[in-house]
Amino acid sequence: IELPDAKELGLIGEQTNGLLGVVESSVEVETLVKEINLRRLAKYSQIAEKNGMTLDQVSLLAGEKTIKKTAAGQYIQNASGQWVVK
Amino acid sequence: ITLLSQKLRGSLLLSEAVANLQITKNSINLKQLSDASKNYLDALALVEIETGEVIIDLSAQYNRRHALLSVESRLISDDISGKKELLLFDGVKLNSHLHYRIDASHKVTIIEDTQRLDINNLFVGIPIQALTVDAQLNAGQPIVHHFKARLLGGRLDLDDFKLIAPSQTILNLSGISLPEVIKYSAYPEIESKAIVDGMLPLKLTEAGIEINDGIIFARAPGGYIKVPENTVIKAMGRGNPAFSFTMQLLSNFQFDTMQGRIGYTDDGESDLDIEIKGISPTVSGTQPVNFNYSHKENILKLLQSLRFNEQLVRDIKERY
Amino acid sequence: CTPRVELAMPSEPITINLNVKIDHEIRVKVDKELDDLFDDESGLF
Repeated sequence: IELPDAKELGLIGEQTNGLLGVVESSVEVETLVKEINLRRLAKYSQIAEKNGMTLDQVSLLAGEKTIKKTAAGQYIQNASGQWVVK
Repeated sequence: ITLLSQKLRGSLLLSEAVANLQITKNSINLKQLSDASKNYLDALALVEIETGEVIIDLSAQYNRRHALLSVESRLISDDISGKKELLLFDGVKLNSHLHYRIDASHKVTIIEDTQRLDINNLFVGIPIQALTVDAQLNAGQPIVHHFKARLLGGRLDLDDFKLIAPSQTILNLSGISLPEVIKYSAYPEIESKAIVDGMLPLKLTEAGIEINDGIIFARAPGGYIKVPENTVIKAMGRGNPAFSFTMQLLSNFQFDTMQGRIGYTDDGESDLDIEIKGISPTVSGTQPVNFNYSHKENILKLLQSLRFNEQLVRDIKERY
Repeated sequence: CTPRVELAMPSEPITINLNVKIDHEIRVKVDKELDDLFDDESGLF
């Protein structure tokens, strides 16, 4: 399953830590999320390295961005960590 | 004046003794004026007026024999709204009354000079409400007699501030809500409670506005600061025991006194040194804790990024 | 017996110092890098 479709179908959502989270679990969704998050974390640590920031800092900034970029009707994690539809 | 797509009706009476110009009750549509004059005045290039009209009354007499000029003008605007780049404003009301007499040696006698500006809402990155300016043009030496505005849950005001450098005044802050300030900071997830007042000596120099040794203090009975678990600050502290202990103390820090010094330079760099005295009950019981916090940040850049973020959120809302 | 009041002096105050410097330059630069990351990098957003 492709990332945009999984989002459209409400199977996954964007978390505040800049990583994808599973909303409706299935083997296929879990592997997709794991794979994307690994690639994202690699990129975040590259950016953190280059700018003298911590991985957590970059991830949180990334989270701000991905949540803002998420289309209405798709899932995002709110401040207290629950899944809500934007 | 087709150039500015405006129509002005007036009368000009010329006699060998006196020239008399009268423009009464003319109204100017500011949207058309700003759109038309954009390509001439680059200062207006970034201004977009949505609504707003100005009623102009102008009368000028020139007495040729005594070379005496008398000018009286009234400008009254209704609800002007619009934006300049990412700065948004609405409910702007201007009320200007000017009556000058200028003699042959260019000496100006001020008969009437009251300039009043009211802005309901001004967004500069943070929302500012109920802004009021009472000023005088003062024949080239403009002075703001009173300035007040509401922001961050409290109020700001200053008096008698000359707008030509060098000049100085005291900027008073009262009833500022700490949680409101933190909401616009880099760590909005920090919970807090306190009301802050302040007195900031403001100086206007050629380079701009600066604040030296401003003082701020929390009102009794003080308040609290709670730094939650998953914040960026905690992330920065991993593997640094002293830092982690500080974070533990700040996870629930109840304080009774907070006072500090503020500096601000004309290019926006701010410098804050705050002493807070309280306890951290869950970690160290009633043992007194002195928390010294210093904060350096460029406020103009902070406001710029807040305006930018606000625009981003608005774009996204409009698109989806 | 006579009541005995013992005033326990609160122990030494703990002093903590925290210096924070917000550098908007880095945040703006990182912001831009993250924008590019989620735009052209296919399949990450």
